[in-house]
Amino acid sequence: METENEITGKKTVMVVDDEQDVLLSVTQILEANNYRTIKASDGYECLEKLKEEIPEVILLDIMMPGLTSREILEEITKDGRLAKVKIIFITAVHSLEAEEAGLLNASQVVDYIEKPFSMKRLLDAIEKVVTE
Amino acid sequence: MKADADLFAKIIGAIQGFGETGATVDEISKAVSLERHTLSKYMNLLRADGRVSYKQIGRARVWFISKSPLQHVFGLSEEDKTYTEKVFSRILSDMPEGILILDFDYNILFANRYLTTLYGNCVGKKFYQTLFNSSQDVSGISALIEGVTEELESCVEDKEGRMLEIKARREKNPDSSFSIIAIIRDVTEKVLYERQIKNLSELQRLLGESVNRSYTIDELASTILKNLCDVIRFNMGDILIYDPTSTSLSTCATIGYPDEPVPLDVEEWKRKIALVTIQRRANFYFNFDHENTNKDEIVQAACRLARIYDLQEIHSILLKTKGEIHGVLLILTRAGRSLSREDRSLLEGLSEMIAGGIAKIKAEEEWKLKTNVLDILAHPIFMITMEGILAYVNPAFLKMWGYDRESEVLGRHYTKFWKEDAKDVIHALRQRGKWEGELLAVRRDGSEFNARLSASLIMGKKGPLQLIGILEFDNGN
Repeated sequence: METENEITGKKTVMVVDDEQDVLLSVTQILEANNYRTIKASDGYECLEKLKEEIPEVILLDIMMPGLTSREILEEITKDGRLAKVKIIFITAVHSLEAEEAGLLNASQVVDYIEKPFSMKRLLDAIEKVVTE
Repeated sequence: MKADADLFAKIIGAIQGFGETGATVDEISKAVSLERHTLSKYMNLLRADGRVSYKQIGRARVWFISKSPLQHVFGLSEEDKTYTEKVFSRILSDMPEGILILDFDYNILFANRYLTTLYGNCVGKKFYQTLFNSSQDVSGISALIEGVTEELESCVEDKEGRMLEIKARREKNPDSSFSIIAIIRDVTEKVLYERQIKNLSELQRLLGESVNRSYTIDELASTILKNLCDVIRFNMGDILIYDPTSTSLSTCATIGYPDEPVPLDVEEWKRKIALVTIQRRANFYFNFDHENTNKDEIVQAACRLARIYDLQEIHSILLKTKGEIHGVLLILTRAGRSLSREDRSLLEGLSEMIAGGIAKIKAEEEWKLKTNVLDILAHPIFMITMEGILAYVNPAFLKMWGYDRESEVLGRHYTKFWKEDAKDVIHALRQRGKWEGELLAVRRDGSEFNARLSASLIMGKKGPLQLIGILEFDNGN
């Protein structure tokens, strides 16, 4: 059976951010740029939705209430179904903290973008991932 | 009642008439024309009121006007005191604050137990000498003695460094002279606490305003150390700033070090302590022990430092915020001085704030650097708010559009600088996050030029923040 992605030809990006304005704006812009999107406001929702659908890219905010980004990353990396999913971290914290937490070493993590960021930079990063 | 008052005044006047020698009841009886027994009754009432006193000379009682009623009460032996006087004197003696009575020449007439515990038996001595080791009044009581004021409240430091809160008033005596009655409290703890709060508030304010006030990191660190020293009262301290790219430390502020020459290695030992603290990413606490045999490099450096400066403790505290280490706060205390657990917690709590202040200045300096890059860039760049108002332009933008100053363009709507088709750009940016294309720009003088614009929406921590545009020149432009 063909998935919706295969029918529409659109790539799917999951956006995980507890800031509703960021979540809504980024997903709207991604949709306007011809991506399908999945929204999640925290780590639990992210993992729950990943059981139903597998995106090409996950934009994951590092600092969120509930599950830590390390815990989310661990769940994703140990799930064989998600082996091809690429992760781009988006965060307001300094990269050193992410390095300290060892988040950038995981093979599925392909980029790291600090807030504030330009949407052009994000769109270019996603495009690079989905065309590889 | 008025008759009694008149009679009392008449008796006091009669005793005053006898001068310093005083008068017996018989002599007063004659002077006021009162029968001896009736006079005795009034004399006892006056004595109970503290206005007259007597001395037993042989079998006769010689009566005097009480110069200082309170002095009189405390001067009496226990058996000579009335019940009321006994109770009253005990209450005053046992009060948890000092009671002091002075005459018009600063002589101490009475000091209760609270004060004699602090200053020994001081009756008969000069007030300012006893409390302040001074040759003149420093408390402000002179204003009472000179009649400038009737009441006084002051807070002064005594000869032992205690902070004394003094509440004093001028009391008229029955003989028309006056005494000073002062209530004195040792408020050292309270004053120190208030000073701590004030310094802490100042510290918080400084850190909050560190960027706005255009402090350099060195200025901020020096001010922080001074304030911290006022709050915690340590002996010596340093703030060392860490450069992660060269893994080196530079001292940007010190406080309390003696001027006398010390071995050159001292700075090296301090850096060693700070650097190892950073490498281990954990605060280091050291309490000097002469018998120490620990070979750990940080302990060895701390021991050497402690011997040179006769130290008790060394605290090496990471200045870390949001995972990034910005430096180390070194706090040193002399032999016999240890920081309390509260002080250590306070230092650790403040260290993140200090790191935050340093990070802000660093970010500001970094931003200034980036702005400089934008300033020398040949491509015109502009930033606009989500509503389309110009918030930043670089000099290349001003030059291209024919303006001299930023103030001529900032605050204006971006569409004023383009032909009509630019209106859709902001809408496209909000919708699609980026926009690239050609537009017709309008200079100040009305002339037009073609420009290729590349624009992007900037996403902040809480949502869309600004729009940024950069011009790429068309061929030939």
